[in-house]
Amino acid sequence: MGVQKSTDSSSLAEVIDRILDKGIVIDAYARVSVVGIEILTVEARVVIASVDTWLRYAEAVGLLRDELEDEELSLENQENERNPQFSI
Amino acid sequence: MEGQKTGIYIFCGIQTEEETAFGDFEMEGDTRTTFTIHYKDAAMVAAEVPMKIYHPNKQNLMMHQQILARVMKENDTVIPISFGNIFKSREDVKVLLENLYPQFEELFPKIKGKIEVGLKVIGKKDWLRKRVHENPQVGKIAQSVQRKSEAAGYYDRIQLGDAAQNMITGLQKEIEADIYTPLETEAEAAAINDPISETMLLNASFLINRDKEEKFDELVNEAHDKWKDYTDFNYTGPWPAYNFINIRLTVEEA
Repeated sequence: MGVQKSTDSSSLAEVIDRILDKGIVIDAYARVSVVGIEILTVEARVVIASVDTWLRYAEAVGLLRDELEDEELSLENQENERNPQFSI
Repeated sequence: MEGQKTGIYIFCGIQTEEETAFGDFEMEGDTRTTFTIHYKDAAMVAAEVPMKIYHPNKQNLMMHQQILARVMKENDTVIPISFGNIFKSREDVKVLLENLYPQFEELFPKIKGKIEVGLKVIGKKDWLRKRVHENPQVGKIAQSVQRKSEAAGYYDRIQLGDAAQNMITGLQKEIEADIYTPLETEAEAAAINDPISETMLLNASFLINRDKEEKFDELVNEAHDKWKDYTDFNYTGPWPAYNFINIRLTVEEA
């Protein structure tokens, strides 16, 4: 066969393309965004009781939010630890 | 690790009533063990790890994906969870699972025995260049740009950029009709994502039945045979159904 399926773990780019913001995504203070084309899309608004119970990198550095909030400003000095490819 | 607070990292949801371990893994230098947390016929695959924020570096991202790949080998109903979610306790994860159960119940039959595959089609530079030069409109503007100084040709350059973009959009439509549409009819579901580079002509994901995997591979190969002189194919999988499950949860401030 001419083109073989490469195994799912072999390419970092392919992994990034999926695991950061697809599947079940938990957003603090999130706007619910719906992608129109997927037929299996389930739009769920399950509210988890408290931020206290949960930690997520993306939230901590504002990856999923448009505007900076005060608490994030204190995280700014951690910015240089960020992998540049996630600064998009 | 004594004295350090631990939390529960979650990888994915699966359909099972049996407690299952999916082996050990390395997380930032320490060996961790996977286990399941249950509610009815649903379970979360999880691990106890130090309670902190895990950065999406290569090692951590690959670790997350490798556990999912391992789970997929043993379970045919996997609901992927995005990277980096840690809860304070098993009890919290159980509450989350209970809350998610109505969605899981709905999803399980839809994804059972199905896998996601990804197909990216990237135009070869030489072919794209050739297509550009064959385009009469582009050729005319390009000639006019060459005759003028850089400053005088400014608007021609913008036009040239527009024309090139139109050409790429045209090729994307051509590829969509010739490659994506026939594959879509063979898949349970299909989705097109935005191209992630200028020369990418198709960025698609397909949800297919595991028992049709070989047939689908063949179809992709037929398309590749036809297009291989002009494009590169990047065909990946099996993945859990990341592109076909979109559950957004909201966490409220206490």
